[in-house]
Amino acid sequence: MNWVIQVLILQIVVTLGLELLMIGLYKFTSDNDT
Amino acid sequence: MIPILIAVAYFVFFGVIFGMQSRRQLTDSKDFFTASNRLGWFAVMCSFTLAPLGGGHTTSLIEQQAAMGVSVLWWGILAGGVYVPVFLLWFGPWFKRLKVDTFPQALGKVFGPKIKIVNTSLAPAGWLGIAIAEIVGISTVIYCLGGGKLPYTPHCVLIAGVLTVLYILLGGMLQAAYMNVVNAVALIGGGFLGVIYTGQWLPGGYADVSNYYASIGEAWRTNLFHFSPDVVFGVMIPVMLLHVFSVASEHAMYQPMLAAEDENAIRKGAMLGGIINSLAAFPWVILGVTALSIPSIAASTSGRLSVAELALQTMPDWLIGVLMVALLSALLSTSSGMILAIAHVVTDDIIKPIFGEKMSKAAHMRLSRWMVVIVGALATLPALKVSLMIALFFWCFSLSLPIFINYLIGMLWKVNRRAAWINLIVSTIVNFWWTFACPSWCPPMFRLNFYPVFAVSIGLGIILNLILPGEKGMLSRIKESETAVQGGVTL
Repeated sequence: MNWVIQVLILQIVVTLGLELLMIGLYKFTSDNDT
Repeated sequence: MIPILIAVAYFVFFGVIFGMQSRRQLTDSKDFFTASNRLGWFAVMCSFTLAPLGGGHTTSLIEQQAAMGVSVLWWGILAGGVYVPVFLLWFGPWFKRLKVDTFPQALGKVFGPKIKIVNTSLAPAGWLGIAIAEIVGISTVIYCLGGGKLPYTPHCVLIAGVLTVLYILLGGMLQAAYMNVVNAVALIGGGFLGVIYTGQWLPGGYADVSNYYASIGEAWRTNLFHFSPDVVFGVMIPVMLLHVFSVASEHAMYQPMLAAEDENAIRKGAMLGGIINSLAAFPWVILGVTALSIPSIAASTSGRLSVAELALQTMPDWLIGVLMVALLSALLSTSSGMILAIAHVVTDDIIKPIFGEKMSKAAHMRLSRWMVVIVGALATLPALKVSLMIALFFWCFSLSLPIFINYLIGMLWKVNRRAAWINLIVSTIVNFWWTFACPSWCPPMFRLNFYPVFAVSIGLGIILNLILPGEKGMLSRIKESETAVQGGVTL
């Protein structure tokens, strides 16, 4: 696998991971927020 | 000239089509600036995702990759993975709940009219600086990808100014939203098409690039996890601090929120918006790293012009045109959003209160459109003379940092006007100090002025609000009043 595909996959995986973390945090705190 | 013609035809075509379509739906100036709760989640997501995605994700990363390699992609990853969801899940819906029309009005609702007046007077100047920088970026893209056939000044700058104004003139926020949906596709599609074409053009594919860097001992250029101090302190920390605590105070970010049907239409786009925002940076960095692995390009040009040089040397005219459309989609959405935001705040928070109810709806609408033209001209004229705006960028962002930190404290924790004023004044003094006489004892990585401004504003915000009494945070008060209203209805 060439480095461009590797970077693309890593970028998508890390971005999704961070997004899921934020969404989890939102779900966890949404009782206080709404 | 063919790439320039493709790009200009694209933006004029969609600008006029969507402008005419949205113009028919407008009833008043509020519609023009906010699209009055008309947009569903997809249009809100596209508009918001493209709003903070301008030169920072494209032209400046093309320049920075020359020193840091593909690890500059952390700019896109952290903006898309953290800032976009944080804004769409929390900041945007909170703003919607305040039931105001501009960010200065939101600040006024939390801390009173004096802070609103200060913010209304100063913030648009900072946003204008960002709009000027984006227009400089647009002009540079038109000049470079056009092969230098059109003079930079005044031709490229004037084209940039006209395209920016055309993006919003006829239909305002609604037109921008339609444009942003099409441009989100053009931005991602055009950029990736360039990456695929280049991979086919290289004799050994992209392996040529990694092999070349490995042979000269610079394999780190193709490693996303190359966390050098430059990457950590020049990309990763700045993108987090500046986006979450400074870009979030720009009114351009809140206009898609005003246009959203409801809070669900804001939150629903958090995941997809983050991915688009992150991936938008990818093609430009890959093309930049690839360009500098070709000795003839590396020897003749700087990092900033690397992608333009690669395109001009290797790509057919139609593909250069598509790349130009993709880059301009990112830059024009940001510059036009800034200009619409400035025109909105100046029209509604400065001029309209002077005339009050005497101003008719038709006059208000005419004023709004003229204000877009005037602000567009104010952003274009300095761009004719200025070439480097990075210092102004950081200055503008640093001015906004304490404003948004105090807004967050007032929304979430406690409202104390004295604490907010002390915080704003001291943080601004620190900003001046670091900008004009940075102390010699300051470590090199913290010389950028937003570091001390952030530290002082957070520190003072916590200490002063612990010491001084204040009212409950705004969100708690809104929740209490909503509960009281529901209780009343039940009774």
